[in-house]
Amino acid sequence: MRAAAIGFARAIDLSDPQREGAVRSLQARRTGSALSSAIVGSPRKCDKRKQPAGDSSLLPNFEVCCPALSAHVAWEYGAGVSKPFAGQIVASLLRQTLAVARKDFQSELRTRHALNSLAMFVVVTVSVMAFSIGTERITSGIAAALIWVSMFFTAVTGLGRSFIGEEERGTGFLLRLTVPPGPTYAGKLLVNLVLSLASNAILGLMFIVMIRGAEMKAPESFLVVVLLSSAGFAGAMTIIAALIARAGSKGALYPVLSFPAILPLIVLGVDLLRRSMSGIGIAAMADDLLLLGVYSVAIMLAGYLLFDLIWRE
Amino acid sequence: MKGLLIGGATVLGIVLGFWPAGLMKPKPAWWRWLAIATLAATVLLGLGVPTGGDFRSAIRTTMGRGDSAPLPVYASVVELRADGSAVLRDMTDTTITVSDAARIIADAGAGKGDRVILGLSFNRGKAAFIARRHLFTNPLFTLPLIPGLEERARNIYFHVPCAWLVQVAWFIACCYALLSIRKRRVEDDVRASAAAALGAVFCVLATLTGAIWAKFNWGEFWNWDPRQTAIFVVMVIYGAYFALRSAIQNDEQRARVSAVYLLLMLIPVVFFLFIYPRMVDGLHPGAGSLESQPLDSATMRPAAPPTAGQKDSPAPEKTAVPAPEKKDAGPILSSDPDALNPIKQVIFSLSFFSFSLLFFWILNVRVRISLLERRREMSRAATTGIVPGPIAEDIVRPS
Repeated sequence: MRAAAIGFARAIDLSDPQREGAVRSLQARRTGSALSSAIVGSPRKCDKRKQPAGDSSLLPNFEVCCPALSAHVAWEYGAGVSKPFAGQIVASLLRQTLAVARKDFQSELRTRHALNSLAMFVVVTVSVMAFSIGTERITSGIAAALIWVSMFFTAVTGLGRSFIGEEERGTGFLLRLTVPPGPTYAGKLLVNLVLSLASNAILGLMFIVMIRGAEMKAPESFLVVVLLSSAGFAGAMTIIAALIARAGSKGALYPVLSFPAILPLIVLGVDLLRRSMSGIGIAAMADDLLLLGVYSVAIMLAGYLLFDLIWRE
Repeated sequence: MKGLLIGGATVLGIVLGFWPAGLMKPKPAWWRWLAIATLAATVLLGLGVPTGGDFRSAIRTTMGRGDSAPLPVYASVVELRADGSAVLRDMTDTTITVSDAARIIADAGAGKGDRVILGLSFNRGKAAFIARRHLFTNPLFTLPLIPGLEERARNIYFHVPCAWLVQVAWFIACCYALLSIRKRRVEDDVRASAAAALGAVFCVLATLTGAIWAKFNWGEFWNWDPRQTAIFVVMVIYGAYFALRSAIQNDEQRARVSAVYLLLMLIPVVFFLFIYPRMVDGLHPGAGSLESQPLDSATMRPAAPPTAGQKDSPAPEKTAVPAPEKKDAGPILSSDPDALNPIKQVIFSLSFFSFSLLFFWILNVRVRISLLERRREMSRAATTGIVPGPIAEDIVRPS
């Protein structure tokens, strides 16, 4: 482990005359990938089998998951490898993205802290709504508004963990060393997308099951609205989580900072949700759906462009 | 002509904001006197130039209001009659005999041939004007009487420049935020945050002037009109921006993170400034939506019903109810040269110019105060033995 760390430090230190050799040896020993997986913390089961027993058993072979990762990193640091093809770079960026996402999922599945709290938050929120409403039959407009209130607070509570967790554990530095900013952002975005989609879908379904008056008359348009708004939530929350992580993890700032970015989603989405719940199909509200999609994509792209600026030290 | 006047004043205001001395050195004396003089002129002309309409606009206003309170009408005295009435000719060459006018004109010391502004009430039953009081004799300039707005039209000289400067401040703050990221200069961050702070102040001013005006014109302080929503969002963003700034201790980190936040917020701001007003109906002029529906009439006053066969010159400005059938660009952006009275154009341009100078003056002072405060902190840190950061050299520049 120590040898790997020294080798890696050499590889990234541009003033070190032995840099190139270090990068080569890193590649040869695949320790760069081992170091990457040190971020994960502890090995996956399948990796334990492949590793020899002893000290290095704690280091899983990361390249089993993403072989192009270390090659790309080595090229970026000027090692004596030829420049990868564009297709290779794209593939490598994609793999890095997936690796970051997988790392997050793995470390999440290990403790299940965020998942459990997110799921319980959804359950508690819907229960509070259900008990508050009682047996009253509400209109689809009010149901859509309540779903959106719940979605907003679920997103604010659950989607901010990604970067704040890195800063709290102190693993952000290693992530910066091993993965370029773009894939880091994309991976985190992917995680948030999945989390947001899952929690919003569960939330919507629970509303429909538990609350009288919240009916899903046009399921396909309901799903599309939830999908697009989840994408918008994930896009806005990822970059704002990165900002807040740099602001020293001030949790109270989260709803404050994210509200202006979420408000266009609310303005568009509440009406769309209401219309989908009263049975209007996708074709009839294509314009507004397109606008919702465009806004979601725009905030994701803006996040991607700006992420580089705050992620770098 | 109108575009040249208003556009020129706007551009000149911004150019003069930056040109002599920039934002970090004191403005020269002539510049400050210019700002004071134009501001005083704006206030004097904006509040002082009397309103005096023609007979038609007075009739339309009375019809729209449902009472017969006296309205200012600007007319020249053609003849004073013995029965106390007077023959008056207004600016559109309509000649009408007004009862009680001769006595009021004589009491005010005016006579035949003078141009006067009289408070006239229109009696709908008799379809005749009755003079109530004398307002002005031979005014130099008059403003037209706009049905549905009357004296409230003056708000255009104070509310619109404030709202404009919110956008200028936003733009300046974003530019300096970008610069502070690219060049990593502390001054840029200071300028960005000062512009944002001033933008927040003008945001509040625009909201207050707009809300008070809306109470009397639209019936409610707050109607969730798209522009009101936009200014609300901008205010929330400024609030979040300063909350974020106060949460970070490290200077460089604060500059970078807050700059990124400001740039990220361009997307919702663009949405609320350019897309949202076109999606939903609004009360502001220029708020035409794709599917125009008549507004909820419970929340606002009825508009003046158009009288048959009547050309409106000048076109109604900020009408109480936007006409849903035609897309109204508003008086300022309208391509119709008659949409804004020439005197209003001048005062409006002057108000844009003077408010821009005021804005840049405060911005200049604010930036310099921030830099001096930083410098004082640096020197204090140096004397107490705390090592000042590398920024010290950037700020204290040899003159």
